[in-house]
Amino acid sequence: MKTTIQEQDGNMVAILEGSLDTAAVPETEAAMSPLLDVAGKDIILDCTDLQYISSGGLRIFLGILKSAQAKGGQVFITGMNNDVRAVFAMTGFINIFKFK
Amino acid sequence: MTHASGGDGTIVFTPQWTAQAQFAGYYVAEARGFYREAGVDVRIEHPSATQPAMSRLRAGECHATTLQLCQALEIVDGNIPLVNILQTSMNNAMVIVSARGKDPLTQRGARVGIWSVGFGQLAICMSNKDHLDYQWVRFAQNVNLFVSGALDATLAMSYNEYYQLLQAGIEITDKNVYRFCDHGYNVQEDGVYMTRQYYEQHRDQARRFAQASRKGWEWAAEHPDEALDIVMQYVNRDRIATNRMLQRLMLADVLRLQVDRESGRREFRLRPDMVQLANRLMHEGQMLSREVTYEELTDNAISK
Amino acid sequence: MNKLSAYIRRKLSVRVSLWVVLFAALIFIAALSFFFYQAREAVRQEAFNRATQILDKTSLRVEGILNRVEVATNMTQWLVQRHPDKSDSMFVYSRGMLLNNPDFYNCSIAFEPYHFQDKGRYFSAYSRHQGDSIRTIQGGSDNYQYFFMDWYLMPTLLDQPCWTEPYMDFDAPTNSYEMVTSYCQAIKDKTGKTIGVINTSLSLNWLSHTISTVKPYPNSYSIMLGRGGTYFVHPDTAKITRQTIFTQTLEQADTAMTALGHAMQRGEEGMKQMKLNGSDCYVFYKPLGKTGCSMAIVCPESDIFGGFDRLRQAVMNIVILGLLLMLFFFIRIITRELSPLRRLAKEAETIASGQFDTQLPELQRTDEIGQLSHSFADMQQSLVKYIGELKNTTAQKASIERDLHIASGIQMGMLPKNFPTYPDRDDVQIFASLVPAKEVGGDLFDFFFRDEKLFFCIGDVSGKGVPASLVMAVTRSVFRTVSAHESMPDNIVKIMNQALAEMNENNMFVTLFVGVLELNTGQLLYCNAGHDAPLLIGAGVGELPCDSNIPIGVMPSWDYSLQEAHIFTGTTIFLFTDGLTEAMDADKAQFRMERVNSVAADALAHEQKEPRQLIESMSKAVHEFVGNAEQSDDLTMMAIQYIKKQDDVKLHKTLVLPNDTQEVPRLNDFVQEVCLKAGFASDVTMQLRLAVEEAVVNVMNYAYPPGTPGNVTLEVQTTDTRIQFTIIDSGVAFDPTAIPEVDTTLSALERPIGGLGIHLVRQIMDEVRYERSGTLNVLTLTKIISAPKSQ
Repeated sequence: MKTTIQEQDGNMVAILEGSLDTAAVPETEAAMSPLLDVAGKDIILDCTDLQYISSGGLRIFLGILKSAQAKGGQVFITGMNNDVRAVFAMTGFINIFKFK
Repeated sequence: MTHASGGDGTIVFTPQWTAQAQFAGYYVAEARGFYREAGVDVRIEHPSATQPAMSRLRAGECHATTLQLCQALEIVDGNIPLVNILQTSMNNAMVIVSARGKDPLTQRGARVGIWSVGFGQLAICMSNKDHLDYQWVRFAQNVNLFVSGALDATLAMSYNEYYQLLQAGIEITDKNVYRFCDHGYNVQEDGVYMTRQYYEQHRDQARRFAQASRKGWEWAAEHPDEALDIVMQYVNRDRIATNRMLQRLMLADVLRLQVDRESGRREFRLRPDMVQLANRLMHEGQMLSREVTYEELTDNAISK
Repeated sequence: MNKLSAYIRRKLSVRVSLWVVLFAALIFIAALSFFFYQAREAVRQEAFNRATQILDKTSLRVEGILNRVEVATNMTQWLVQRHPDKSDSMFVYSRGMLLNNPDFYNCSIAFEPYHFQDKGRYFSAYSRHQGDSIRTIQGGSDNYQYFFMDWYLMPTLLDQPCWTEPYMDFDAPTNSYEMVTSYCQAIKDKTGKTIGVINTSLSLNWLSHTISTVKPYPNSYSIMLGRGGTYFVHPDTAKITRQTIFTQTLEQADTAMTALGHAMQRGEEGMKQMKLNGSDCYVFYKPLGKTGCSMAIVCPESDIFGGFDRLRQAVMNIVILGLLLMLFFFIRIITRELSPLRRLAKEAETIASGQFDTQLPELQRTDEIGQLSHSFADMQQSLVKYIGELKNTTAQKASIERDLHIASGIQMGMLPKNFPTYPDRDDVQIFASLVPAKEVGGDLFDFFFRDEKLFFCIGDVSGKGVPASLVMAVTRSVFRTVSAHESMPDNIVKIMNQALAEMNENNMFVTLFVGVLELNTGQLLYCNAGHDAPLLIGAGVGELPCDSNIPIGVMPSWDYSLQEAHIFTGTTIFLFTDGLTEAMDADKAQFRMERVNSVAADALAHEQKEPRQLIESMSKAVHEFVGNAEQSDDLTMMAIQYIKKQDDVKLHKTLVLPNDTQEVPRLNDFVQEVCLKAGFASDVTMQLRLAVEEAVVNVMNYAYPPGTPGNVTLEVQTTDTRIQFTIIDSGVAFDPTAIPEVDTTLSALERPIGGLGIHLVRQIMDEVRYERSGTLNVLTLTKIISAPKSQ
């Protein structure tokens, strides 16, 4: 699991690559922690190469969303494949995230 | 002295009293045929109350009789010579029995019964010697006077009146009896005597008579029960008022008296010492005028 | 002796009679003894009086004559004294004495020696009867010196007139003896000196004749003793004058005789009791005047008391005979009186032996025996009646027992008898056993197959015996009726409850467990109504989770809950009633669930969890436990083993992981591999991966206490139709399925952090089942594959 954080067009972009299973949760969470400090910017989560996500990963996403909303930012997810999308649908996360 | 009326061979023998065990030996000799064996013809005739033995002898109605030694001494002293052909008694049998349990020696001046027929010389001597001053009451023949309480004491023969007194219920203990034989008066008594005159004419018969009589006594000593039976025959024949009990006692005592104290045997002999003693006592008692010697009474041929 | 006493103990008549006779005898003895004693005394007294009278009479007569002698002698003495010198007169006097007294014997007037000088020494005027004349002579001579005679000496010596001792006088002329006694008196001169003695004799022949004829009694005799004790009269004439009373005592002492002799000698008068010649005699004695003689009458006691003794003996004999007769008759009479008792006793024995109808003897008596007989008859009638009733009751009881036996048969008939086993069926094996405590019981079990489902139930009617069995029958038929068309256990129970509650006037209730097992899938739907939760014996021994609800028949409107569980292949459902857990031994200790569990665990360990084996093991264990104690409750057990293999298992793999979330990739790889092998599409695979990960991670996080290492086991099975993941851990009991559903409609802000994992598992998998099996958590996730190898 590889997580890259960069700034693009005035947004914070997190590029997630690989399987975000429970084992990968701690490192991923650590890598994405800067996003929690973002204020006034939108966060874009690039899931183009995200193959797999577990409930631990969902929790990270939710954490980021809550933090951004609290600071007035928005979170957008891009490039989610069908499998991951199905998971979002199953859990109702599909309703609380915006997709681009 | 007339001669006996019997034939030359017959000896008439009169014991000094009526039939009783005192003369058992002679009865035995007659009944058992000892006299016949000895070749003597003997007729025993008892005296009666009216005819005492001595008077029969004196009258010649009998040839032999029994006498006590003292009696014989008196008679010889009275000038009738006698010969002792058989001495049976070796001891003195006379006693004094007191009434009321008294000691005879304490009864001074007592009325004492004495035989009228001539026994009791020693008693008179003793009364004189010991100063007892007995009043002699002569009785005929039984103990009735004493039993009736008329006498204070009476003379008795240990084999005869003694038992009669017992039989009459008189209580006799050592206390009220005085035995002459125990007080220095043990002088023999019964013996068979003949007049010297007759004796010297019939020596041989006398000897045989004596020996057969002795044999009779010896047999009686060995067969007292049978002897008693013989005695009772004579007693019953003469209707003597006695009983077998008295006769048995009499026989036993008479046999006892025949045993000499010193030798313990039946000696059938006159003892010179006793003759001397009798002489001395009677002389002291003034009953004899002279000493009658042993030789006078005996014939040496017999007394051996 | 023992036989005799035993006989007496046995016979009342003998005992009573003996007592009566004994008392009678005692009375007789007392009365007769007193009487005899008194009578004897009277007889004795009479004898005394008689003897004494005769003695007195005789004595008087004798004394009369003796008196005459004394008087006559005295008179003559006086005469002599007046003329003591006239010697010739003496003859006249003595002759005169005899002339005047013809019965006198002789008379002597004797003088002292030489008293009459001219007469010589002796002078005694002696007269004596001779035939008709009197002979008078001079009696003294040398041959008869009378001075020494008793009669001469005694009066002087004693100083008084006296009688001499008797003696035999011999009269020479007649040659005869006569027994005489003389009375002699001294003749004294004026100075008082004795000059002579008068002696008058008396023949004693007449006296001895008189005395000897004195015979108051046939065997009595008289004796006369002189002063010296000499017998002068005696029945034995040989003794006369020869023996004295003391003669025999010289040889053999006889104190009585001696005492008598002395008494008589002393002139005493009296009576002595003594033994003569071996027989007891009474001797009455009295002196004869002043003679010094004494006479005595000897009366043998046998004479005196002879008649009396004979009488007494006769009376005693009569009494004894009478008593014996009395004894004999009493025994007979009492025996006769008691004979009804003997008859009664015999009849009683007959009745005791079972013949109650025997005829008791008719008795007309009104006494105690009669009353007894009547009571006996009453008793017999009662006996007959009661025995009859008893027979009826017994017959009824037998009839009821027969009915019960039939009912038992019917009840047993209601229970299924064919227990399916492999290979008859390939889906279930069933075995059950029902042992009622009484002939009929209140337990029930039932099962039947319908629409590829197994309907089964187990129940326990409150109570035992016939009432419970009736309710059991009803319950069972209602079950059958309802579940013929109703497939949901809760509904079945609801309807059964309503039906039962309607007709339940006695407030009977039934604990019930109803289950419906889907035979294809092993899915179990069940509803428990107050019954003991069944055991599941599969991977381990565990209890099927049951809502307790309430027994049916109590509240018609109770809402029973439906539960479901998945029964894995090989698992045995073990159902039982409380007759198992509450089976009691002799000390009233109960078998208890612990033991059930341990037997089940034991059976499982020994691979004996097939229904028949299991139930047999359980039965054996219970029987061993209960021992000889009586069965307290119905014991029912049913075991259902699900043996259907869920299609062919194509794949079966196992992975064991430590509880470390870092191992998740390995887990995912494993699942990926399995899915690939099974030919699943990628999206399915991914979803499966996710579901399994979530479930496993949950276990890893929460099963074991923090910091405690533990294992998680993942089993995967695939068949044509599905894939099943079984996650097993040995941590704390944790049922993830108990977590409430996540609300996915909440906004982000409202969404809690946790709970997503399970949500995903539920969403993805078709079936999520949790089971606590012993110490294991067993979570089973099943996904149905509708079409194999789809895209």
